Amino acid sequence: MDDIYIKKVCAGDTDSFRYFVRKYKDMAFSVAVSVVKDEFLAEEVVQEAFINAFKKIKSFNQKSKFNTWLYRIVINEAFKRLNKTKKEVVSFVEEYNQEVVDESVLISLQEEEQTYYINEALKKLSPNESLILRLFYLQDESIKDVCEVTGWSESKVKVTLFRARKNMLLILNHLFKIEP
Amino acid sequence: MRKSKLEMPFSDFEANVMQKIEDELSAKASILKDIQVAIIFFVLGTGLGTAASLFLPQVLSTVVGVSATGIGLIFQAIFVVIFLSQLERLISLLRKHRRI
Repeated sequence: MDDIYIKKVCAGDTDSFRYFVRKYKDMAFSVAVSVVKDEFLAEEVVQEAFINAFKKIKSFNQKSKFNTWLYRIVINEAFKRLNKTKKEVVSFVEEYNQEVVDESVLISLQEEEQTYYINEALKKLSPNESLILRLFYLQDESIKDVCEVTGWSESKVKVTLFRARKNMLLILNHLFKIEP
Repeated sequence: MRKSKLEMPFSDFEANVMQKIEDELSAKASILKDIQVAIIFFVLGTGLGTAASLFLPQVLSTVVGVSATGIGLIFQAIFVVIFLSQLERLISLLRKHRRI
């Protein structure tokens, strides 16, 4: 389906680009929030990324998937914005290493509470870690796809994913203790 | 983790993106028009300037005590400066158009 709309946009049908905006805005927003940790900044990032994607759509190499290409633009724009604003990202400090990780507490929560705690924990993770978790689990991307989207090596993706999972559980545990 | 998917909270997002794309396209079209006009005037100016710098010394004898050759040299120097500055402007306009 994407291919048809890519051809339409390349042929000059600007309004066909609306299809991509509608289809990918939520995931692009999730990816951007993972990096910049701010909804307003993330909106600007995604907007800029879509405009850049529109400008470069003729150079899009159809060997890769459109969403892979788009998320790469979003990630580049998000890190660029993060460096520009020099926003202080609250990263998780490993001071809870000795605590016991208990996933059963999360599972016992209501769905809305689970969503709240997961998003709060993702906010506290470093941009790289929250980004890798969202890409890997939300998009069902393989390690290879994640490498393509981020431009990182396979070993870096695996290590970051491992640390991200571990830190995520530790942060969740910490959150449950603060907000029982 | 599947519950961490966020929805775009700004309802006007789609409209804003499409509006910005439209703006970019109209800016691009406007720059293209400017480039066309700039090229026409640049070519005209270059032709006229070259003709003037060649024929001016032949038409004039002396102007306020300055010989025709002297006037020709001054004119050519001014012509080169204007030519280069306009060429630089034209190139930057072309670059801007390519970026958009």
